[in-house]
Amino acid sequence: MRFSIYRYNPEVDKEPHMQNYDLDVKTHNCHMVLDALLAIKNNLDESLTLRRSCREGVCGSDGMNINGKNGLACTMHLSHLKEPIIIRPLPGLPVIRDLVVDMTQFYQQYEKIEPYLQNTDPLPAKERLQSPEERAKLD
Amino acid sequence: MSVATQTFDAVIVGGGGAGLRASIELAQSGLKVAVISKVFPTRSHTVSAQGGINAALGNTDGSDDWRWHMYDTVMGSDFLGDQDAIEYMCKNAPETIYELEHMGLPFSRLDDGKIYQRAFGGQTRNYGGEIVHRTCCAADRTGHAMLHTLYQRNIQAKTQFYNEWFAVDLVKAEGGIAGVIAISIETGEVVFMQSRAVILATGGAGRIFQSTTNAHINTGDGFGMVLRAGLPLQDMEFWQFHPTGIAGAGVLITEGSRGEGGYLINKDGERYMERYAPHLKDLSCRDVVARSSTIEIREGRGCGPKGDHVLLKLDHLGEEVINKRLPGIRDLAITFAGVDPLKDPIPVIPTCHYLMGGIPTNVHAQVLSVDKNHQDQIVEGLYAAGECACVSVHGANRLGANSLLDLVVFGRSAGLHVQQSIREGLSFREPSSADLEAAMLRLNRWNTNEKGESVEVIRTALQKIMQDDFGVFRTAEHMQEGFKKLESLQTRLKQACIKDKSQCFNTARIEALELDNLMATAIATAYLANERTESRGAHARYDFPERDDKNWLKHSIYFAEGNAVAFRPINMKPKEVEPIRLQAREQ
Repeated sequence: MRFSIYRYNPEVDKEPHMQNYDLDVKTHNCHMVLDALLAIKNNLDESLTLRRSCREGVCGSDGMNINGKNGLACTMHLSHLKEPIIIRPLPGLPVIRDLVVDMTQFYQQYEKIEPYLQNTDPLPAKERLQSPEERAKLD
Repeated sequence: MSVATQTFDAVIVGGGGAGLRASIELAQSGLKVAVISKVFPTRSHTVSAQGGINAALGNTDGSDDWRWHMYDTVMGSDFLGDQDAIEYMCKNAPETIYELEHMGLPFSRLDDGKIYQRAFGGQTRNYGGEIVHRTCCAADRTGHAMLHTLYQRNIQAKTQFYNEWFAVDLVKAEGGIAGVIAISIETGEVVFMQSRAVILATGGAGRIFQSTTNAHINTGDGFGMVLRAGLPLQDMEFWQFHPTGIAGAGVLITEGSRGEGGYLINKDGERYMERYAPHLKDLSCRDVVARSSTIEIREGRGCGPKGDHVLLKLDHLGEEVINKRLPGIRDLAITFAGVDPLKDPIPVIPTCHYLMGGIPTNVHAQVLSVDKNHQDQIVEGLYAAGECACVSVHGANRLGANSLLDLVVFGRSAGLHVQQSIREGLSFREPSSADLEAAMLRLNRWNTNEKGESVEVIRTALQKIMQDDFGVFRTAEHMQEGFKKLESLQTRLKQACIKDKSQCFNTARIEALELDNLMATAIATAYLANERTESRGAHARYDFPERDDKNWLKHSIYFAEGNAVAFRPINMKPKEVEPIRLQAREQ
């Protein structure tokens, strides 16, 4: 399977470029895009740089642009994608290296909204009561 | 030795549940605290915890008692758990849950507005009676909800974060720990973070196995750091295999799915847990269920063309229960197993999930060493909490939904004790330049080694050895074979190299540093697993199938230096209640 991946290491590259990799996804037992990226890093080019953690679509580390669509590499099936699979960093954010983007601005904005429970009522001895209907509004 | 130094009252290594609970306590008290996390904190593995957190609130059943919770936890631990620590955890559980609720954790609710509680493995009424509903949850995304709530509370408390920094090693000094050497992943900058107290909250190390529910980041960093600092690890032979990892993918399917009424079947459609454990059935302790499934597969009753897994049946629960209580499970099954549990059962297999052992601590999360006279020694300035610690509340087998509880109870207790110690004058310790150099040693090795095998080659070999020779069932024969292979691999690791020597976001270097920690964890596991000639909890041996209380009712201790093994007594003296006396468990 052919992958065309955005590469940029500020220590050596003047400009970003796309690099092709051919990977036998069957031999390396790859089902998801993340499996393939890690197989490339582990077997073809250890300098390929990306974030990853839970590999099950929960933590959000491996958000990237795959064939023009933003998504998580760990939940994107290779079999659903057209070749070559074009992988770029998330758009609109500065690139630190390869597929790793600088999220500072995002996190600063997150802090600005004061994203924590703000309630000055005296604390009850047990839990605050909340009906299942009220709770459903949080989902 | 010149390295930039920054000073803090406390440095917390790890931004998961334990680290973030500790940091709230400290940041709120106005101390200068740094949390070092190798990933953005909300990407720590706590985020993947699904089923819930135990506390004897009695919301669903009308009544419950923390003493029953304590009894279940001691029974679940197969008597290897310390009863003083288990008492502390279970007694403090309700208050800890209310604190989380007050912070805004969006728990699922009952019709009367109280926190919803579901059934989970090994949880009973009245000392081993009927199954109780003790597990508080936020649907099947409890860890996600908890981690985000704790992070948000830290924003409010203005905790200082060093995100995407990696702790390389502890820096020792006369009489204790002086701080840590840490490296910025983004820039390669190396800093000595000097602090009055270091709290290790580095989580687990499931990545020593080929098949694990754990995230890529669970590489036992705290274990490597502690061993290299000459300190011991405890009970490292006790790895929990979760009965329901998705076959092939390793992704976790919560025990809550059985708590809600799901059950396991073999190729004949038989609900086999009724045969192995007639009382608790599918809600038996995890070690019991994992062994039963392994036996089913081994004896030819596994499912699929290769007969290599069993099935978790949920469709009888109906659409409403699945969508309301287990929505995340349905998504995971569709994505990673290609089945919709509304219609078809999920292929599952026992999968490495959790380490009961770890860094020995007391209930204040103070790290312990053992001296030549077998006496506990508190290591000044060093704490550990969460999965990396062994306090020991889980003993030989952890009950489901006791790990999130462990994180918050002992994360909090670490924070409280550090505060108190600083008030009482806990001061900085000055390392010598040799101490600093020792903590930089392996970073320098990876930066300079030019020729050798790759990280991937060694890591894959390591994971295969652990999977083949130290899995659900163990024998001396296999373990000794595994041993030899591990020792030669350890030698090869010293010569291994990375080609990428760049400074900017060099993840190859971080993976290399993590590999040192995986190796240290695996070797400790191998030594203690081989040593313990009995079966207890998650440590099951074909060659020693019985629990042996006469010889093995004790914690095992491993030091890297000389691969020395020692033992510590189990605490069987709770403070307020009668000790729970030794008895057999349902197997």
